[in-house]
Amino acid sequence: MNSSWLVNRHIIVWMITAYFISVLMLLDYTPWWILPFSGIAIGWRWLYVVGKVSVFNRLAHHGLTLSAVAMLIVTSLNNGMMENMVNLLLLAYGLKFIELRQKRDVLVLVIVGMITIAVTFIYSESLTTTLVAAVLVVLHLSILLSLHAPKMRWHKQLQLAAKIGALSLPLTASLFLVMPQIGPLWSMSVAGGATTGLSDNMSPGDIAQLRSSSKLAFSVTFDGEPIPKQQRYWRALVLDKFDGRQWQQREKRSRWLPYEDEVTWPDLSNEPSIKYRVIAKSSNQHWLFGLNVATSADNNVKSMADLTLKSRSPLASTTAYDVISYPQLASKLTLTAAQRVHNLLVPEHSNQQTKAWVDTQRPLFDSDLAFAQSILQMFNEKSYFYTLEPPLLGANSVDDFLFSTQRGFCSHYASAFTLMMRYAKIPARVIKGYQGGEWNEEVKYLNVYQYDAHAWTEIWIDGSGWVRIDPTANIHPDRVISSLDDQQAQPFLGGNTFSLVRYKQNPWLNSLRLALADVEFYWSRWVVEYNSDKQMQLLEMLLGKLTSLKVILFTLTLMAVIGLMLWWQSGFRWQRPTTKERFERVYAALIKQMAIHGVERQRHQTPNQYCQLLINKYPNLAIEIQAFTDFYNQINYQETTTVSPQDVKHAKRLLMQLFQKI
Amino acid sequence: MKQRLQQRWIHWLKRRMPILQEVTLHRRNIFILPSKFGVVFGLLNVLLFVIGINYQNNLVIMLSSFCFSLFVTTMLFCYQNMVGMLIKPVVRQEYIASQLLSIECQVSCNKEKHGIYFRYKSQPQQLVSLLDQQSSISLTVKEKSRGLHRLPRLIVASEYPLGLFRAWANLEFEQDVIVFPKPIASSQSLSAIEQGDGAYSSKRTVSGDSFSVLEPYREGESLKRVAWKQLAQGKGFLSKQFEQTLGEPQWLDLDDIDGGDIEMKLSHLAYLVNYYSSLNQPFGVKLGNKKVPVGHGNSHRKNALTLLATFGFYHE
Repeated sequence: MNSSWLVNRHIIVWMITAYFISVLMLLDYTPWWILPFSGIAIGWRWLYVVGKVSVFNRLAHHGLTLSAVAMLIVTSLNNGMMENMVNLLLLAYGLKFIELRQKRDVLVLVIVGMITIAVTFIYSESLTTTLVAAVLVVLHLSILLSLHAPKMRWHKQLQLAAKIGALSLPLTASLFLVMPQIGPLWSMSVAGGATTGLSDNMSPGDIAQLRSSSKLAFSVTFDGEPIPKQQRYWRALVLDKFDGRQWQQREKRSRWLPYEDEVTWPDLSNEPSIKYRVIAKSSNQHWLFGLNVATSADNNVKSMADLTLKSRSPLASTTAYDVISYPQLASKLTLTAAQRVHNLLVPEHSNQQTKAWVDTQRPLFDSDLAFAQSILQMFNEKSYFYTLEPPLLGANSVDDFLFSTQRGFCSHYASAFTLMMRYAKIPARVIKGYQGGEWNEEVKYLNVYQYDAHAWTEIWIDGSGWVRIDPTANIHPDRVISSLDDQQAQPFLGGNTFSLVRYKQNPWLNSLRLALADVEFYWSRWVVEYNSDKQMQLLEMLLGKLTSLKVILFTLTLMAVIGLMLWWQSGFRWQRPTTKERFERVYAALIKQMAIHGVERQRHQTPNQYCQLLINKYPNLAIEIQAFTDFYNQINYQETTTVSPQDVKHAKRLLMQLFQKI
Repeated sequence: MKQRLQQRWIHWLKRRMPILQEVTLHRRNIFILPSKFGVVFGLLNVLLFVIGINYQNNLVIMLSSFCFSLFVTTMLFCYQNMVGMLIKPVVRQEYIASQLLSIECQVSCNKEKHGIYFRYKSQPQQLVSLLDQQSSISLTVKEKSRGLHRLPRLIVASEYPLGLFRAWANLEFEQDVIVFPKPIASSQSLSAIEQGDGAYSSKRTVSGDSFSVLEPYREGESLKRVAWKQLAQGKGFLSKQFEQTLGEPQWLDLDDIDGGDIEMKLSHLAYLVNYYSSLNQPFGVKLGNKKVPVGHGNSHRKNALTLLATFGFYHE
């Protein structure tokens, strides 16, 4: 009895499939060593089910479990809490396959599977993830179903599981809609280490990896017209500390705490502004994206002194925030003495060749701006190449790049340019962020992908403030190695054959890609990003002005409708009794009433015999009883089989007359 | 206190589900509550919800609401799987004391039912994976002592479809079983058979001079035996069977049996009843003032055993 579920081999297939889908979804966050452990467990289970091996050796089982635990402990030291939880979960899930003895073990497996789905959602909230999760849920429901309906065919089980799932969706959706949105009960450790997108420093070569990722970084909706393409420089990080090779933020702490030297904002009321809303994908990082100079009134968003925006908590899930940018504000800001010093700092004893070169060149120009332009011109005219696969650079990275390799991409150019400015006593800093984005005209939003990652420079010009300079943009197009499609790094999507971005040239594939992007956008906007504001908005849209009575009534109606739907779908039917049945009921009422008065009708008695019996007992009612019985017989034995509602009424009237006389 | 609660429970059950020969499951006699797994699943649900709001992850919250909705959906499916079943236990066999009673339940339903458990109270349950329109299930009830017994409540349960809910019905049927005393041979009764008229002296043979029954004519039988009258009436070839009773009819009297315990005496009597029946010898039974007149045949045997079984229940 205990292992009767084993009769159906397909359950094992389902369980293994569910496990592998779960692992695939978490593959980026799964260390390799989990796979051999679960591989052994699952491989053995399969061989056992097909009858190739016998019971798993007890000693081997203990050995396997112990070594898995040892691996967990060893690796846990380097990992964040969340990563360890995921490892533990996947490991326990995999090893559970060895001990599937009782029904209870299968139930445990299903519960662990459901938790794994939830963990997957923490890492990714895309529509694809949700759809795959839906498949997983149906598989889990089918496993449960096959335990309780073992004789059902496997495809019927899948079908019924899908039906149960589908029938639960309306209630799920309405619960989701009307459930009060609650804030976090306590702060959770975020998925440590599993950060995506930009990193908080820049050493030569690190943006190149992002360039091969076609993942969405964030989406933007503008209140007015979208800004022109050449102005789409989305600032994320300001790197103003250079150690000769790597650019960093000045203070590590400043990743989420504002600088001490707060910015003094001038009067903003008459400034031209751009209003937009950014929906940032989870990155587990603090920085947000905005156009220069970005400000935000959102509670969770801080405006930093370096004019970037930071989130108070790392973006563990897709987050939206409203931004107002003042494109012409830069010139009205001041540079404090401390900031000037910070942005002129150069490391000693490195890149001396560059320093010497700048020292000879700078006096040739009469203004800072002219000098900067001369360098851009140099990038344009001399043999500087743009490539995503540049040669490696030594310790003096800028010297090597400027004078020997002369090949690189945005981070090389930004790094070299910024350092040259600093040697020329012009305050300068590196900006990391995204440039460009794909405008969707129909739905009016801008998608910025990871491959839009970019680095550029800002220099301080007295009178103009921080001026954006993109040295990479000045490379002569002839010297851009490999065929770039606009500024997009399409050829660098290399091995990722499945990325639809690869097929941009194909018109209908491209339109399919854009359509999918739209769906994804709405998904993020209305589901992933759903919060109490959206809830209010939606309810107001449905109900008009909100009162608590209305909300309660709405909820009750919704539940009632869903209840009725489920009632109907699960097989309940209410059938109106036919007139014939109602007619019979009238006669049954007579029998019941008379039984109370002591005249029981025996099963074999015909209506006439029973009538005689009644008359004997109640001679004074003879006429009524006779009339009623006659009518009953007349209707029952008439030619047509149908009984009209009038007949029922007449019978009732006769019966009433009879009862009144008793 | 506990006893009083128990009584009230039984009283309530009786009022809600009158005792009948056969019972259709409907909303008044089906109970439904979350199963153990359902409770665990509910806790999982809470866990998911907490994860969801702490990570401010709407999809996890949605998964949690989905799990909650599953409860509602499966509750209805669970109920639907039970409703409409017509259950009728059939008591056919002879039951003997200190042997398991096997009872056949006839179940009919209008559509397929999955994963239904049947058990009598305090008996191991039996899972029926699939119930078709008409099925019969054999169940066992713990051995009983001699006498007249009301069958215990039949519990019909199901956790279909996902095991989140357990629906069950607690059914009592208007069905009594008569448990015959266990036949036990005693040295005294055996010797009584051996001596005296002995076994063979009272045997009935298939040939004799008193007419017993009409049987279909078999090839090779004497034509003298053919019942011509019946043949003329169009009833086909029948042959007359004759038999002859050998020996005196036996009277089995409780007072004649040695032994202190009345139950033991009844067991001995039961043994003798079976013994004489197997020999086809006529006998009568006398228990105090209660008698089964002399006779033979299977129904006679049953009457005699019933008298033994119910001795002390109805009489005296």
